[in-house]
Amino acid sequence: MRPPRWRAILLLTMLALILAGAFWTPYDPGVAVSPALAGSGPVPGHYLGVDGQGHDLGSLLWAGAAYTVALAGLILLLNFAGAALFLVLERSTPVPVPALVRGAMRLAVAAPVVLLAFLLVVVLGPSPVALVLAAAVGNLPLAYRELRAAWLHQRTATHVQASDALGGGGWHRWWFSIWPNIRPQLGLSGRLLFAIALMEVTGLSFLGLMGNPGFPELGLILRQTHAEVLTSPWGVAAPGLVLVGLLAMVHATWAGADAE
Amino acid sequence: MGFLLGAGVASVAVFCAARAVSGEAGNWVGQYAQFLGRFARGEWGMGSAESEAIRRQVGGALVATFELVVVALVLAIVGGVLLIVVSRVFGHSAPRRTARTLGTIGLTVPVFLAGIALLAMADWAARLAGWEAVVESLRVLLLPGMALALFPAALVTGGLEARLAEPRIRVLKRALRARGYGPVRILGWHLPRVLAAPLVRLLATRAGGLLGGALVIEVVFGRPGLGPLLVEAALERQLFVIEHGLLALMLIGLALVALGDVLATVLLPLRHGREGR
Repeated sequence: MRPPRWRAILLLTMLALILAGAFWTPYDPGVAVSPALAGSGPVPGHYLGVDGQGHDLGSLLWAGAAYTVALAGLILLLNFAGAALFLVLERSTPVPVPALVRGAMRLAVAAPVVLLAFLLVVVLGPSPVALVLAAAVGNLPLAYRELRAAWLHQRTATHVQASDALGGGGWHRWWFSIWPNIRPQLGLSGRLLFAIALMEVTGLSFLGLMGNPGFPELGLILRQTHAEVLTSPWGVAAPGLVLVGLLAMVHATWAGADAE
Repeated sequence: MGFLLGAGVASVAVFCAARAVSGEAGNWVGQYAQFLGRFARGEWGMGSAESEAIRRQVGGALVATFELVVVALVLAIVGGVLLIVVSRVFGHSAPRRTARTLGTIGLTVPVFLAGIALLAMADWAARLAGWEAVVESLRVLLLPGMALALFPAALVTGGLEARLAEPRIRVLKRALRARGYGPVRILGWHLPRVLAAPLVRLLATRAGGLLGGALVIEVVFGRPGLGPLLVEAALERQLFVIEHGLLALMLIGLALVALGDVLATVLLPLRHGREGR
């Protein structure tokens, strides 16, 4: 029996709604629309209030969440693309290369993403590209291990060997025997990696390693507002709650899918 | 797309000039060997922004960061183990629920956000109760240590819960109870001898993450550790501070992993404990 997919559908719908914030928000998040109401709580027209600079907080948070999710999604794509590349390299190259790939992945586990980010910021300058590359490379060993474990498990499974015995070619075997069975496992790993990427990208931009890219991002918003936590607590609590909400949403669907 | 690349890529000429200042020559393998030799001899050179020697800058900050990591580890182990012991000895569900909540927080609250929240709560408490002096002293080490300890504490409680549910451990507990041992003796002496090795290995494999988290927490709390130093050096492109600081940090991370492995091997119950025989 196939596991219910409603958790994944709910997660994707929520993510699509959040990503819409990159294209449309009630107010322009980059423009101080109500300087006179700066630092105020919820008022008519600004239902989440106005931040210390006069931006509509709801629009700022929606756009911030959208860019944060987009960056984490990009990191996830690069994680799996890199992991697939290294897996192909390990499985289809002569003797010293597979051992080198596995050794490099074992060593890379010990390198925290923040250290890679420092190195890349020195070379590339503080920018979203530097942070995305740092997180993509830093999480590569985890993605590689997950993909490799799922692949090896499927490669030796009876249904794949049966497909092999029936004369199915490589592509046929992959598409009809391996992919349908590997997909749920990759979905779970993807959710874990996505949550990790969310934490890393916000943490690194909070440190100021993203520079000032000209778009709102939750870590950047928190960096700009966290010093005002005693004078304007809502301005700090709101982006923090959005970030925790995003992570809790991913975690809840991941934990639920695990149980199913 | 320019906004995605920010301030721009440093040119090769910048790095060549930096290498010329350091006096390294030959191909890149030779240059790196020379760099490692100078690193091992402690000749780290001078920072470009300040005239202070890099070794003194990084060394001083490294001690502060290491101190924070040790405090966080102690808090995580003591707190996590206490929660499990209390929940098992007294049979209360509250400590177990706390342990699970801790696990959820560790997975859903980024470390810098936990730091900001802890800092805000402490400042509010200080204002309300007039404990400014107490909170000011806690901000130095204990509060950052608590913020950093959240995730490892979640690992400790989660790991211990999982191990205690294993059939082998259940059989061991039954056998110890049958010999007339009380829960405090079982949980305080016999089980730690069996559970210590996997716990140490679990924490050691996360040493890199813990060091990374310490850098972020130091920025949140304004501690004079490696975090603020490396952030400033990265933003100002002080190549030598970054490469020496990161190499020192990587070596400490690898040393912690190796130390954890050795400690876990020594603590294995099969080596000297009666439980494993």
